[in-house]
Amino acid sequence: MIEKPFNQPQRQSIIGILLIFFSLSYKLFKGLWALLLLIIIKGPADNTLQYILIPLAVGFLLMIVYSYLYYSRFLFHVDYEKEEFVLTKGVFSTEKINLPFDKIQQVDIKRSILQRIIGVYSLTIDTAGSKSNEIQIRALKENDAKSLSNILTEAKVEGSTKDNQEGNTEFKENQKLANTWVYRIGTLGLLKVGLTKGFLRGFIIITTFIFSIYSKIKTNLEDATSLLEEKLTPFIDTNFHNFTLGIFLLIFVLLLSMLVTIGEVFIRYFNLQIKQTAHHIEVEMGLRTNTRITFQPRRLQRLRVRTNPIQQFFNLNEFVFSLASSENDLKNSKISVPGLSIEIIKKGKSFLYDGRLIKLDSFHKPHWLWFRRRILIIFILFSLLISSNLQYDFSNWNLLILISTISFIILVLYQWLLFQKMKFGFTEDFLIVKKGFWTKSEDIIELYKMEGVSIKQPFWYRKRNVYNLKFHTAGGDLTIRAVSDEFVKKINYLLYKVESTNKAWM
Amino acid sequence: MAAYFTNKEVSIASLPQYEQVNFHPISKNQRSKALTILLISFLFLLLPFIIFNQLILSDPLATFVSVFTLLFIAFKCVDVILKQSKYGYALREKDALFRRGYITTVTTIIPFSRIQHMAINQSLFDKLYGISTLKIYTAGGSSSDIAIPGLSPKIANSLKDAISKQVDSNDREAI
Repeated sequence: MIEKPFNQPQRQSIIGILLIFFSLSYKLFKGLWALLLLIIIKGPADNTLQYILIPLAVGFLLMIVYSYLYYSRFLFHVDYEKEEFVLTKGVFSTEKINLPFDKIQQVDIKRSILQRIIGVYSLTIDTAGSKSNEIQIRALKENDAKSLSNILTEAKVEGSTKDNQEGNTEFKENQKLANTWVYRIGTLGLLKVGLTKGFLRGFIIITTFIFSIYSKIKTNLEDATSLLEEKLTPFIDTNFHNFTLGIFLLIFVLLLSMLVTIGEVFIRYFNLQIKQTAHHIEVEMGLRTNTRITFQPRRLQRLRVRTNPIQQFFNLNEFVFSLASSENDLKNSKISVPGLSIEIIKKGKSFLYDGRLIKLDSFHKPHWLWFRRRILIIFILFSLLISSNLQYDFSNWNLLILISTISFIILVLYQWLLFQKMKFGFTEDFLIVKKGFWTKSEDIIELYKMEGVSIKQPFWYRKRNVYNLKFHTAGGDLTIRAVSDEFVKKINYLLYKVESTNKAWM
Repeated sequence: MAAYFTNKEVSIASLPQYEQVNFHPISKNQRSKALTILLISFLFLLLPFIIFNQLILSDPLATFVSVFTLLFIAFKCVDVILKQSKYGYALREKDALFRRGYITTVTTIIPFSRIQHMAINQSLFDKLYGISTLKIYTAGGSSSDIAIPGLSPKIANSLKDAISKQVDSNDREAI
């Protein structure tokens, strides 16, 4: 028999002792920092040594012993025969965990800064139950972490494909193997993502630049103006000075915020890599904590593809994966991967959905009540804003009214465009929702993954037979507002799709 | 591409229509219970506050707050009375339906195969009026969970049994 890795009980990397010791010291420090501060402030007394330092030293010694014991009693191995992962741990009381392969939800590899320094990875095995059921091995060498993660994820696939009733799997398998790909995003790619992220910011920067150029031209013109204007210059100058100063300040703030965004993008997505293996999508990223997430298409509950015109120009698109989640960490289950080329988006979709066509042939649009509702909200907000300013004695009321009218019109136009762009519909296997005028997004939910649906009707919609719909999935909800009953009738098709399948959905 | 499954056209009109389901009403005691709670909160919380304010404090802000709260309670009373008729539940072969709300009427449909577990709750006031609440949980967040109030414990239990029977038979089919 070939020797399989991890089949014998083994310890984590020896450097793990250090990690255990550090986390213990940290806990001790957190408990005692007030006391330590007191000692430092008061200055060393005669009996400090006797009463503080000696117990502290003893405590440290005990902690070292405890760390060693914890390390040496932390044993794990893979039982290939029983198809489970076995972990024994505990210094005073021993805990033995047997985790069958088919209970494994997800295997992640992460690195904190400390782990980065000492060169180890932590491996987390998520199970179907609550958060307390998850297993964490905190110090593994890179090779061990990666191979163990691969073994567990592959084992899990074997376990689940066994009860996969669909025929023809072998053919599909081979096809999938042939189509694996890796996509990395380097520094330049991340820079592009950071620069094109917030559209509003980019938009404002451009307009302010134009403004400042315009004002420069104007000042140059002013130099050449006639004597007639010279009489007015004191007035213009002071005003102008303030104006340019304001613009510079604005640009400074905007550039700063842009830098912050770029920094954020770098921290979150450093060394971003997305990879498709035979059965999984693997995402690896992050500077501060290195995250690695591996999931099967089955676990994907909802997919969003997002882009904006500037990003489209640079061929940057974003995937947002919503995975099945336990109630406690809803936030964790959303993974966004920006900076992807359109080819990768296509390949990813085709892998995740078995190459089925995701295209809306006929779509629905929201009822015009959708638009009216938005306008009403904007109108109320504006009236509140203006009425709250009524008590102030403005010298230039006309200006205020002008500005608010213009911005009101712009907002209404924007909502109108949003309204025009919004479309949704069912295909044979999917619910697809497209929206957005600037930031365009496409949401895709496979119909059989739906957990339920809520049909809502406020009483002011009753007369017109208009509804709001909320689709529930294990990876979050999707709401569509103001739909006609023609679309609501198709809920029956959705239910038919969910209830006529017994495919595993998470 | 997808040659491994058959693909008959499904006409939506021929599918079972959820709109035609007859909803069962819930017990009228639910309304009585809700009104009792409102009455108690008025008598023991708001009324003492109003009296205290009128006799001793006479603060205009407190007056405003108490009038506002009074209006809110009145509004809640109307809501409780109106929404009683909107409460309704139904079981079909493969899913459970629950309708509630007057201002916004919400109908939630949960396929049996997506139900994780169920629970029956009975609060103090529920016991007083002999009713209970059946809670149905799904795997996702809490937004798709439903709680059917105003069921007599007997009905709640039999509903729970009926649903778990369906859930089990679904599981068996899946294996």
